[in-house]
Amino acid sequence: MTAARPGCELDAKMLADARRRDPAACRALVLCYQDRVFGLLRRLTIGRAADAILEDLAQETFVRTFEHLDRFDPKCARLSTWILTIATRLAIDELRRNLRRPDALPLDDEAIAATTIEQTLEHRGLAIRIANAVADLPDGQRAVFVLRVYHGLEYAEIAEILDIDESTVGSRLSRARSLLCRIVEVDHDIRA
Amino acid sequence: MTSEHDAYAVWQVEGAPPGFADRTLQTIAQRQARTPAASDRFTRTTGRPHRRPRSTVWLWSVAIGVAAALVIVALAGRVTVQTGELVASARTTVELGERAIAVLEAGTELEWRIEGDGTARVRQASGRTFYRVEPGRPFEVSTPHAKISVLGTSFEVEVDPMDRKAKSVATAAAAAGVGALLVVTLYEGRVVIASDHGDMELSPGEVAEVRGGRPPERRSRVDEASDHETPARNELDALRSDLRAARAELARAKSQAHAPAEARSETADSPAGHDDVERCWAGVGQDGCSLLEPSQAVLDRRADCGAVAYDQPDALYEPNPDLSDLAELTGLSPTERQQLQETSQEFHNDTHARLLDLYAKLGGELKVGQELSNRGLTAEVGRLAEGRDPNARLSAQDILSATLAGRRPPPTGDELSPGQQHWYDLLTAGDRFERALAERLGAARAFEVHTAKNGWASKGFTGSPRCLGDQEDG
Repeated sequence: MTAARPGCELDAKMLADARRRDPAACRALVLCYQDRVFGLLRRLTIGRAADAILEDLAQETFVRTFEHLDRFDPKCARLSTWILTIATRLAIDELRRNLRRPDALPLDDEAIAATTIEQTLEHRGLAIRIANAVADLPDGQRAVFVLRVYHGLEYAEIAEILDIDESTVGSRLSRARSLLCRIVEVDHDIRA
Repeated sequence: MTSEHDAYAVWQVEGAPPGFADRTLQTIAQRQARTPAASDRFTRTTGRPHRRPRSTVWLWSVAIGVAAALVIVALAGRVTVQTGELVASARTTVELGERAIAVLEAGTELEWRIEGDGTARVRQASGRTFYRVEPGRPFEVSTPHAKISVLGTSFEVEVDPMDRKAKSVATAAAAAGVGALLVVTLYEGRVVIASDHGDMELSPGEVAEVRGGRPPERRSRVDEASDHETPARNELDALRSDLRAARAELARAKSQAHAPAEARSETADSPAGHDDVERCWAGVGQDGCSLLEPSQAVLDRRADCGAVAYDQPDALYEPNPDLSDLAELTGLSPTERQQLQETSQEFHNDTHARLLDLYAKLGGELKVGQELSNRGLTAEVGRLAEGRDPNARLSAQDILSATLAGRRPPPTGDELSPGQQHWYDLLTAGDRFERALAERLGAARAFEVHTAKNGWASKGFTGSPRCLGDQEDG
């Protein structure tokens, strides 16, 4: 049930250029991955991070990417996965330190709607319900769910990013899906 | 399982805001300027040769838009003082100490000094800057005309260093400030404006102006004056989507918009009274205002102003948009649905090819452009077009609005510059998609689908400075 979205990957030539700090290649790298980084950060911090914080996190992701680009081994991982690893760890750190949710109140729909792409009203309602449900997940479950469903990462990749066992990835994903399924099924029932 | 997966896919979030790549590369350059040893540490840990000179060169070379920048960190005992100055040749984000960010528009001159205790003194000699400041020690912005004292807040300062003429780029905030030497727009928090002729405290949502020889005056509410179209604020605060990425470029000159097809002239005899024209000329779907079939009077009014109403299909930016609701609404057969989907994909690909062509014509590197999505390309082409010809958008609007009003024939292929062609394409995307769809479904059916929701998913309107009150053409 992965929902990996098509996205660009830098080819070997462009990656080599970026490592040599070729300005055009560096710019291409950011442009290539920035939407996925923002998508990941928005979902991981849904309802808790202002846009300015998201931008800071995203910028820090790319700062670290360039700092450590020479360490990246394309034989071991896709560059997108490597960058998403950096973004995920930054987001989780930020959630632990500064973005704890103060209470269990439902998120403000407007806050979620502000980051959700415009859609028809019918889909928008479901999108906001899903976003609210994802926001309610514990941080660890949310990370697993988002990385798997919205970025199509494999269990092993998620396990490495989050520094957990693959079996834990499976159990967290199962618990997250069991909650989210109810949201989706209810919605389908209503629409039927 | 598939339906569950599809349901999750409904929650799509916005990508990076416009200008993010530029800001990020500038941030990296600024950090490098402050801590020049950072890259050295890295090269040492990886055992690679020391390459500091090259690293410095590339970092500075990517600091696009910074005409001159200097950040000095002086250590005096345990107290760190940060000073800097900047003349922005493009939109530029600057961190002012630990608690403030400034987004400078092109042409803005800024100097700052951040004391060790966090007290900040900024001097803005000219231009427009959006500030976000976290609460803390005093934060002051001095301009030639007044001083603004800040408590945790976000606000915008626009300084005209001379007796001003009307602006060629007309944000509504600027429009509200015609004749003013200084315009301060407050979004959150509280600021105090002090000039030689008097003081005034602003509340959130208010706009103040300082004119020569007069105390600050409260002009209007932000929402009345600017419609929240301040580009810098959008960059930090806001709502961004595929369409908005393109609109952000449009919004620099305060516009939004559309382009009905040439066929609209057949509606020239539609009845429209004066009230309808006044209410609908900028209408993009209000009750009784047709986006796709405006009256001739409305088209004439728009042509007088170089204004255009437009719509854009999701396929402009999405290769496989969800069109199921539209298909259901118009009762498309399975075959027709398939044709609609195929048309979307082809339109998306065709758009990419057109954008790539313009990108290359405007000096973009093909290898970079080929990596970009339609949205990224749209932003990049818009940026390059603006640099090449700042009036391209408005002149494209003039041509299109006159064409739609029947005052001139459609432009020929070589009549438009690449920049004009870009804006013309964006504003006519809705009708190009209808024409593409007509090749499969037939003109009547395609028009039926197009009109089912009074236009495609994204609708807008773009005006021009010459119809913003008493402002003169810039």
